[in-house]
Amino acid sequence: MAPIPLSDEDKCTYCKKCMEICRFSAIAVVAKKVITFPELCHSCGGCMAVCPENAILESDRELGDIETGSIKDISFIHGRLNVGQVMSPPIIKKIRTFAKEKMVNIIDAPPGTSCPVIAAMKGAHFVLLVTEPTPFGLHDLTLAVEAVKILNIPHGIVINRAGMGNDGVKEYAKKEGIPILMEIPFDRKIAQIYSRGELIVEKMPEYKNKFIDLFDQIKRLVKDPADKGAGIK
Amino acid sequence: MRELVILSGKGGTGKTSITAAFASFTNHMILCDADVDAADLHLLMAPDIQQKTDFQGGNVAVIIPDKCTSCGLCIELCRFDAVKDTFEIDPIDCEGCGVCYDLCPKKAIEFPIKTCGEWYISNTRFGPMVHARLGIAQENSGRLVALVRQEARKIVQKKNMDLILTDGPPGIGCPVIASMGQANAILIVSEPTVSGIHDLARVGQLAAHFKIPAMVCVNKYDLNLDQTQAIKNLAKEKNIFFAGQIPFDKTFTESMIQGKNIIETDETSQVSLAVKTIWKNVMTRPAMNIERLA
Repeated sequence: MAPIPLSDEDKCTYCKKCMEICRFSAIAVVAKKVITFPELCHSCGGCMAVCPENAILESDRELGDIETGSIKDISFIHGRLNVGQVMSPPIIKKIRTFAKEKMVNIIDAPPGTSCPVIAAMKGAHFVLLVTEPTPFGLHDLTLAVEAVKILNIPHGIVINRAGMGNDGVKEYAKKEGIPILMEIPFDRKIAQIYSRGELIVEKMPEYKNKFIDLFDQIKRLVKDPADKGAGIK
Repeated sequence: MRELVILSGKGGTGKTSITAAFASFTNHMILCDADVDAADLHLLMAPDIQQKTDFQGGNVAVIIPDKCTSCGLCIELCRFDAVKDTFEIDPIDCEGCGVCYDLCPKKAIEFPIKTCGEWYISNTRFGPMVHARLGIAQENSGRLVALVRQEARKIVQKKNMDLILTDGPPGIGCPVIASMGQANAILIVSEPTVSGIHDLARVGQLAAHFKIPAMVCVNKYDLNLDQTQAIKNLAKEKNIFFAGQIPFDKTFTESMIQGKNIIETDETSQVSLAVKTIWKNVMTRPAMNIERLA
């Protein structure tokens, strides 16, 4: 849910202050009518704060839904943007409020480096960058590293589909001093397991220890080990 | 003028490699990289930049310490928790709404325009290309997507060209919505995995919501034939045209490393032939043969 303005036309004097403050063109006063465009609203509350007649209230608009569940002792939170809605950061921020203080919280972040990604990783204790050893993988990795550096979060790399491309990612990691924590080889069997929606740690038990080792390495890299938590891309 | 937008929902399905391959099949075309967040098309196109322009995507609030009386109103008003207790504004959290700037009783807040990235008009061996780079941790990727598409339209008209090939962003959020409005059709590059199908369904719903005709092709189809069949079934059910399938092949990666598209590497390879069939199927669809007003 995100708050959007709801004008009370009994109180409104059509002074247009709401329209003037809104940077997102989400509210307009045309003659004796106030029109709102909920899809454009960023829920900044400016129109409400500026209205001299207190003629603007807020109502909620649904951006998407959040589902929770659990499997064994792992709880799972899942957010989904409604089709046609543009703004995912409010849902991402909401999901992150479900994080539990003393638990390890793993966040599967969206791709890219813009607002949804920042919303997913800001304040995390660690960011795991999953890439592949190709020019596209390397290029997008360098962007992600820049973003992680701006946010000043410890980070490490996992190379997925290792062996399929070239050494660009490894050379870059070495130059930048970013640890490569794990390599998952390019293997048709892994791709097929993934295609069925299954987990390699379950279908290929030899991977279980590799993932445990990955997690141990992350724990060592997180500055304050008592303060656990990780952001995972 | 016509525009085909190539999308995927899920990342890593081969969207950009297929867009690049399509460029080999036609002249009179302009390439548009609308994946401004993590643009990759230029890695295959080696664009020679002709024009570079700053993208001014919004404003950011800055407190002037000398004028600030620490009254706390900005902290109270800011819905994005961007004003710290020390009366500094975190530019990453600032949404650019200007509420603090407008309502500060001491006028102690400035609201300068910020440069959020840049966009380029380039020449490539396939024709002109419009592309962009959004700054790290910047906002307004939707506006930058709209801008590169609009510039592509201008060039198409000026040069009397026929087609815009747009490499779209992943997901279904703001930049994707900005990438598909007024396009002739979208082609979704899917893959036969549970997540690939899930994301295909989401993009398909989005296209239906905006009434843009949708098509789908499956990359790496032979990784899981059951899932490929599931995609065909879903396409039929959702009225998404099934344009074809491409086998899994390392040629995609090998071409990428050489900075080529798969057609340049070997136009007679199995994958090249499969992509060519998809191209023909796509371009002969009625939706692709309607002139869209620029």
